[in-house]
Amino acid sequence: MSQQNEVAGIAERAADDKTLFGFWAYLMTDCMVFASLFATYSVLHNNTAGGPSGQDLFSMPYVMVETMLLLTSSFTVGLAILAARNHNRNTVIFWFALTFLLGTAFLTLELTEFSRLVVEGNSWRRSGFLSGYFTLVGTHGLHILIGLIWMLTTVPRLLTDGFSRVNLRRLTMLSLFWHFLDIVWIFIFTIVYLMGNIV
Amino acid sequence: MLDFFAGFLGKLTLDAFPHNPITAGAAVSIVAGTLVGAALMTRYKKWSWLWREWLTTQDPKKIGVMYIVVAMLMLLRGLSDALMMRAQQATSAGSSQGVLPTDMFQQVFSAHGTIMIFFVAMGLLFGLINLIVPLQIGARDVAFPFVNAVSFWLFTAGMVLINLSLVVGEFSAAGWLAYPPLSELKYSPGVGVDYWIWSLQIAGVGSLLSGVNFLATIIKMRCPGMTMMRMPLFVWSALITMVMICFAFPILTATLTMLALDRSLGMHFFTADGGGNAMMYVNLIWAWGHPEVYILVLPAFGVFSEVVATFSRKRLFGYTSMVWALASIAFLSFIVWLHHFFTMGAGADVNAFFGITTMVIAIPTGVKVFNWLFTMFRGRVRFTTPMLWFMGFIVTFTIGGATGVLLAIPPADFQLHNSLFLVAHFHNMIIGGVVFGFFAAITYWFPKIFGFRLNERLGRSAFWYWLIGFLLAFVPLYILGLMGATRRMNHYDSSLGWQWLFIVAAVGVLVISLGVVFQLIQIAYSIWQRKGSMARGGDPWDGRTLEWSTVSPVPAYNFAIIPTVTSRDAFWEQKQSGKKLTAPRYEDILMPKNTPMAMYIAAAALAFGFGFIWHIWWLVALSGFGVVALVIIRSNQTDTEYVITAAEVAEIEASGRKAAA
Amino acid sequence: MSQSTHQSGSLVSYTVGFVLSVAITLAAYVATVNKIFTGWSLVILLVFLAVTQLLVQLICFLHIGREAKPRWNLMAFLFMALMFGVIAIGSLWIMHNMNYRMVPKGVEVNNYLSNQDGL
Repeated sequence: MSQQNEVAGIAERAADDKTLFGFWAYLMTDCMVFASLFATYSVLHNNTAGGPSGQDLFSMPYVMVETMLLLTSSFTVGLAILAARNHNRNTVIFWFALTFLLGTAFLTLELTEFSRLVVEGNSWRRSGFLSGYFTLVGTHGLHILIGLIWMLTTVPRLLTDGFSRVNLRRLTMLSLFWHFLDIVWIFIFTIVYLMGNIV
Repeated sequence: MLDFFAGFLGKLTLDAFPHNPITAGAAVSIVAGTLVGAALMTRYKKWSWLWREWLTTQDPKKIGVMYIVVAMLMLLRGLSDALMMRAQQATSAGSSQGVLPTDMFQQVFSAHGTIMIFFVAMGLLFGLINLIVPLQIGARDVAFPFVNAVSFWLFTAGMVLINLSLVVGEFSAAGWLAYPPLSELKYSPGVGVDYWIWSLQIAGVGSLLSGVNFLATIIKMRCPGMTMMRMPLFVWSALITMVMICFAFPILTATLTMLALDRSLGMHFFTADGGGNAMMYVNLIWAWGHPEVYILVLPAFGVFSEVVATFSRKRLFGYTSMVWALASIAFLSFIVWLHHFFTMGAGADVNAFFGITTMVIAIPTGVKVFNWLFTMFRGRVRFTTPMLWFMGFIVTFTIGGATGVLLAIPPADFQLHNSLFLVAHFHNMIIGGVVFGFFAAITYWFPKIFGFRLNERLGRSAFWYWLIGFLLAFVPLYILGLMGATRRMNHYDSSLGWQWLFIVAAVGVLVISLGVVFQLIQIAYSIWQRKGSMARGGDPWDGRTLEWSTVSPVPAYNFAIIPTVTSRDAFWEQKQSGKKLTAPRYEDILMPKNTPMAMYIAAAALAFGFGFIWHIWWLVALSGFGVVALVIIRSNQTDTEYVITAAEVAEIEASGRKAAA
Repeated sequence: MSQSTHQSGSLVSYTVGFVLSVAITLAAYVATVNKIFTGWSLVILLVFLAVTQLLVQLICFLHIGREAKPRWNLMAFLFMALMFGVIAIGSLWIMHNMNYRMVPKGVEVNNYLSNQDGL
């Protein structure tokens, strides 16, 4: 009987191992999508077609707030996973809820910024630079949205199924995804916003 | 009232159905063929069999067969395009305007390239990998069986879209890579380029998912004892190809998205105005495109390593150097892409760098060619059909490779860029390398999957027609290219004296078509005569690797007992030493349950693409939401596996071995 | 859980990672906004800070490099970083080269080019 459990345990660990590796490989491919978008943004960042450049459009304090929100959410999701390892259900839900709120706040700020730009006539149709900007930052935002939906569909399962193998694995993948998004943001913050300020 | 319907279906109107006789004829045959197929299925009451055995399957072997069937169907369409192009160019000299209207000719050459690369070559590639990789690593399945099914159905959805363009709407007239500004809305206002974008975007996601899936499979699911350096060469080639897919295909995804955004949301990535830069598209699409052609050919190299060793009855020469050659080719393939646009504005320093890297890539390829030849040397060679395909490859691929090194020299390329010389070169590589390799694979592994052999004589005839047809079709193109003929011409002056070469080329494609006919006859005849060519024991060629150790056709679970290996060519070693690889005790096996969810997800993706193409925005929203919902529903399903009991396993194995005896 | 990367996380590593990331972000922000550095020296500083924060987050949040051998995740990441570099830097080099040669500039520059490069 215990040998069967041992075999089952080995099989489960192998399933975790290959799933987490597969997800990591997928994240690497997502990095390549961002590589293409970063490269295109860089090539086009001076193509303002007579319109405004980054310097004219970006508010640095605003971006700083966004950055801090996302960075903190990356920290809180890490705390959530620590709690998950200790099978501490309420703590896990608390930290994920906080992550969700911070992520939603980030996305709200970002969408507000986008709307403002569109309303004042500086939409993605204005120039190559703005096309690159909206697509790069917007793709990141779309990933954040997917992460938020993923949280909504996965975390509540802790209430129904508890700390099953599958749930733990999914929460781990979600946290990897969320950390990866903050890492991409480091480069958006630096290359788009900070360097956009350099004459 | 009509206005309401006009809004309801976006840009789609009755005008979208084909006008000219050739397109209408093609559309009618596709629809008629589908209806006839459906009628036959109903007549012979095969729908539940189709649903149960094929449409809802998670078995990579079945999925592999489906990939190959779809690829062969698309080969017929791509070949028809080729015949039409040759007919046009053979007749359209001087005062004659040929057989095709200009606009149609442009759609034909665009469709030809797109179909051959994305649906024939990629389809055959994924088909083979699905069939053979789990078997060669001693595994029961792939890492993510459901994702694998989704990959196949997304591929099929892309195939449906590109065929739909024949029935409703039009196809792109911008070539197989759709360079802007021609592919931008201003110069291609119709739906053609949109069909091209979405067909590739959907199929491309499928390819990317397979890349991740098979990477995880090979890294994490090898049987005990199979270290990396004990894997068969085909598995190495698959592994490295999957790595390349993971790093190259995202570039395609991003680039197609940007072009789609330009066309649908008025962005200015690649437009001629508004700060766009069309050359950035060319740069990115080839940063994907060059690795793509190596993605196509590396598995063919893997196939040949298996075939040559088996039919020389000798261990592959230089295993380690073969692995390093594959890895070097893969890495180098990511740093040569500018050679596709030497003439498009870069300076001598940039051109020189990429010219040198392009020439260097010939070196590891040469290592492989020599290793295959050294494997044959002093072996006991049997010239079966797979081996014939290899011999054809050696001759044609080497010539094509030499012309590639020639083209790699930027000043030479300034003469030959976009000439028929280039066209001959890449067809040389793709037909001589990729296609011959995949045909060798199909004839080699057919008896493993189906339990009976393909007719050898018909196979040989098919090979010779293909080889001779290929030479007749493309040697004239090399000559024409050197004489200054440009690609994609629909008419030329008769005083140039080119017409007779085009006529020879047209004869060549007819001969190739005869080869395809023989292949189709071979399959039909072999199925009809299968009782006389059974291979139930699973090892008709006296093979060397693990897949030959199972019964044929291979049961759902592949191996009744997962083998433990101690060397390369594990099955060969077992046969030589007489020792068994597995202990004789059977256990219960857990297998994934059939599910239609993969098909549904792809159907939603298809609807999404179709909606985007025709600006049917409610359909886009609904199907987009549908994809997300289906994925969430699937992830919440818990009853996804079933058990094959040890007793059932014993029965299947016993009946297989008995039939073989 | 399996022997994958996240097993080795701890409160210390997450907190250290968070504090360092905040500090680096602030440094980059202040350097730019208060114009402590400008021009190319700022660019180099920003790149350095971004890469440093990348490493901090990779190590403290994603626990890269702490898996058991064979380190497949690390290998995959390194290869991706290489490819990212090839595509990004390769594209920038190529496009810069082309833009310089092909995009219309002022009359003086064009005269200079046709004298020097034999355009």
